[in-house]
Amino acid sequence: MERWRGENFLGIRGWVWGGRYRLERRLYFLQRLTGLGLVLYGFLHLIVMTFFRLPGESVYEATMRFLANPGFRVGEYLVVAALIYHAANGLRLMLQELGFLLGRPVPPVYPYRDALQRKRSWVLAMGGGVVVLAVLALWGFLV
Amino acid sequence: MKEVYFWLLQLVTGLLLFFLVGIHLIWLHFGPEGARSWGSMIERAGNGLWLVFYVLLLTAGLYHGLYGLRNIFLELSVSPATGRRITIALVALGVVALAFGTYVPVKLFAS
Repeated sequence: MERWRGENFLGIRGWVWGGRYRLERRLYFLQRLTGLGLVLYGFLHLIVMTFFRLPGESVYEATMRFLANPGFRVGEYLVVAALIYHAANGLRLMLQELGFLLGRPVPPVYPYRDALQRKRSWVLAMGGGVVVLAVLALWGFLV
Repeated sequence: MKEVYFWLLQLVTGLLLFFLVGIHLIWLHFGPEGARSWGSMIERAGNGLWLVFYVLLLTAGLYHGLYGLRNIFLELSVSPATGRRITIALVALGVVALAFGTYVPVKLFAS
């Protein structure tokens, strides 16, 4: 077996389940899922905003009218909600990566709690922020 | 070592997108009435600052999205040779999308 095999043999299944995953691991899966969705949406948005803008005003306005139907509006809200989550969790991951949310090292004394568990409040604050912003965005879409 | 700089750029573009996408969304959804109309779009297209804003948004978005996609592909136990092919394909896709996405705002700005 070549060297690279086995480094991630669970593949995509491992994103969802590979053992006793904790909250942070679930958030990681959602980060991946929203990221993939946003990349797909980004390319669709780019195609729509270039192809349907070049022919001129009538084609552009007709496209905007078509995209204003309720089905697309629901999809648009889901994109905004995914964006809010991806941005907030991404900011948390960035701060964690740079060591800001990990706290000071502590001696390994029973009951053991790792840095992520000790700083769980930041995760909960991020979750709360996402919910508040998603509700605000929903209000913006409905009004 | 080179990979560390690409990762750092991923963090920088992520932070940049936090503000750029935020401005884009707030302007179009909560901004002035008719911000999505042809007239408003043409007005923005004629402004150099908006042109810089959109090209920057597109560049940062493409880098962040495609680098993230590359990371996902490379985590799926692909061989180094396949990994290189994936990287080349994503870079090519990014360059084409950047050229395609920049052409329209530049054309509208110049007209």
